[in-house]
Amino acid sequence: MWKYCLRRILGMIPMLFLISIVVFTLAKMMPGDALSGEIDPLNTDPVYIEDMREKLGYNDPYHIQYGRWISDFIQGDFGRSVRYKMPVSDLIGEKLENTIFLGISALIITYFLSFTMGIFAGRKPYTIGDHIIGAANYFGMAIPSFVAGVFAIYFFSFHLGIFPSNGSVDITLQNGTMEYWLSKLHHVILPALVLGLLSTASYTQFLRNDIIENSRKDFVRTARAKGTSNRKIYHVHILRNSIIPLITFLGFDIVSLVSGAIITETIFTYPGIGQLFVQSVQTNDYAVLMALTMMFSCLVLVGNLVADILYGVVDPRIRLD
Amino acid sequence: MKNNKTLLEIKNLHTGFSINGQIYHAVDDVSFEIQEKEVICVVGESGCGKSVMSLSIMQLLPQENAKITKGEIRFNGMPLTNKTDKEMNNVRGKEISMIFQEPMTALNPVFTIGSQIQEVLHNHLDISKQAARKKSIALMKQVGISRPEKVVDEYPHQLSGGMRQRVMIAIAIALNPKLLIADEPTTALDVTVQAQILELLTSIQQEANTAIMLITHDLGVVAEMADSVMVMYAGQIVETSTTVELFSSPKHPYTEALLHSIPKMEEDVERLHTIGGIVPSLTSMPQVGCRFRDRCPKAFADCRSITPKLAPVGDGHLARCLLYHSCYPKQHRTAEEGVEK
Repeated sequence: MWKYCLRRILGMIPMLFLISIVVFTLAKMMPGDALSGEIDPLNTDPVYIEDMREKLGYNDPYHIQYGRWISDFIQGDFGRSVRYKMPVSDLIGEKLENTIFLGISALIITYFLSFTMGIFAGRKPYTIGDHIIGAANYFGMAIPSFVAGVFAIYFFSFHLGIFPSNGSVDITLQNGTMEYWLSKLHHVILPALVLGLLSTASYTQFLRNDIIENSRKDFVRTARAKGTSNRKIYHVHILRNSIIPLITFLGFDIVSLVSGAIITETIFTYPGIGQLFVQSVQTNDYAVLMALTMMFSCLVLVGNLVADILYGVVDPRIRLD
Repeated sequence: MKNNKTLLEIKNLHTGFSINGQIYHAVDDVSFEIQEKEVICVVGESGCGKSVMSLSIMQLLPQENAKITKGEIRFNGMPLTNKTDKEMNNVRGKEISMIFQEPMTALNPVFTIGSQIQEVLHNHLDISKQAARKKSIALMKQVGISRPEKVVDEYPHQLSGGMRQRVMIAIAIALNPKLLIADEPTTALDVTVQAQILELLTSIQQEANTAIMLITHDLGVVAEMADSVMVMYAGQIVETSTTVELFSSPKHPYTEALLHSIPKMEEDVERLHTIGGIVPSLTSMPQVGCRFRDRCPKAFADCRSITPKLAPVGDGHLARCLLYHSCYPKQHRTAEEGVEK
């Protein structure tokens, strides 16, 4: 098991190296640089801009720039954000907290809803309840998050006024107090709901179909022949088998937990990683952009590894030795 | 084995499958009894309704399209057919238990062998975890699993087919049921393992006095194990008698053909005997007349128009064939013989 993990982690290194080259190339291929949008060329001495370019190293050959970036990166120095004038690691750390909070809240909503509905629909397939759940799910899946987000703000914030429409916390509150955390929770509910409901549909239908399929298996008949109650058959025998394919989704979830939700965060002006990422692209903030992309790539690889390990945990047939 | 108490009594059992809104009977008017401690074999080709009948007794039929439409099942005098699923749970695994054909898929792949044996104990007894574990190891020893202390924590995929079937038997006998239904328990296993499993079943029957209903299409197994035999064809019992009687003087042409199909060591034949044709499917079952007529070497014209009844042909020997209907004049039968063939 540990050997397997180590082998997988070592295998990631060449992959990450290749990704870093692609990320760097793509970032540099973007038109303009960090200075082109920020400084008014009519008001500033072009010599000064050129000086700044020289100072930031933008004029060096690409392979030298890459070498400088990657050696700093490996040593844990992700550079400074040109826009925020602060170290990238601090900047990401600040936003990461919000994003993870949002991601986990959304995930809890997704899991809670999809397991409740999926088990119900799977136990009683082709009944009215199942059809209602199915219809609701496909309806939910068909609505894009930017529409759902706007509607949610319109109804819950504008009309009913029960949830705030933007931000992640009431800024007048002291960090660390009870009110501060409650306010954070209050702010996260609406975006988490929009984000969580979005993926509920696929989880629910997947779980439902798998439960139906497993309920026809021989081991279910064996369990019934033992006098096991129907409830226990569904909640223990079938569910335990049906969560195996869902682990694949979990791998992706780990990534989305951190990568944030660009659209949802933008609509709710929720200061998270998704928003930071979009800004960094718009302002050619190379250091932030590249650090984030590298982080996402790394997470995809780690997410896959975690999913593979979890497969072994839930399914003894593929236990890794 | 005579003069025992009746354990299971089945009267006019009809089990139907609904196909495209219509009900077709896979088990059609089956009645029989199983005495205590008796070994009864049910034989017949695939698709004769043997498995459906055994599932009907346990009420394990696929819920979405199969159901007992008529008839009565009494176990120890207690009617089972009107019991709810919850009430049946107290019977299944405790009073009647069942072993299935496919040991490879019958166990849940994600739970340990031990936990799957212990489940049946927890379902019916108020037993502590340690006690259940101990009991499950003892059961595994009883069914001949070597190193049970290790196997208890292993998973089904780590065991061979024969071992898994032993585990299934351990589960089935855990609570000393009065009746054990074994639905082709050896079909999926190789020959040497088959013999071991049958030996195990025999020893269980003798030690624990369990009645066994063994479903098989291996007549060798029947000769070895059964006290009495039931031959089924197309959802009906076509012949029933004691084992000795059935092998020495089979009455129904289908039984004769089955016995004839057994390859014999001393004979040197080019081709093995078979019964031509197949069992009629549920949807194409003849409504009137004998269901075996199209494949029967002795069929005659009236086999199409008169439905034979299960009639006595000897002491405790019943057969469903017009040849043995006492009201039917003998000359009439032979007159048109061969016309239908």
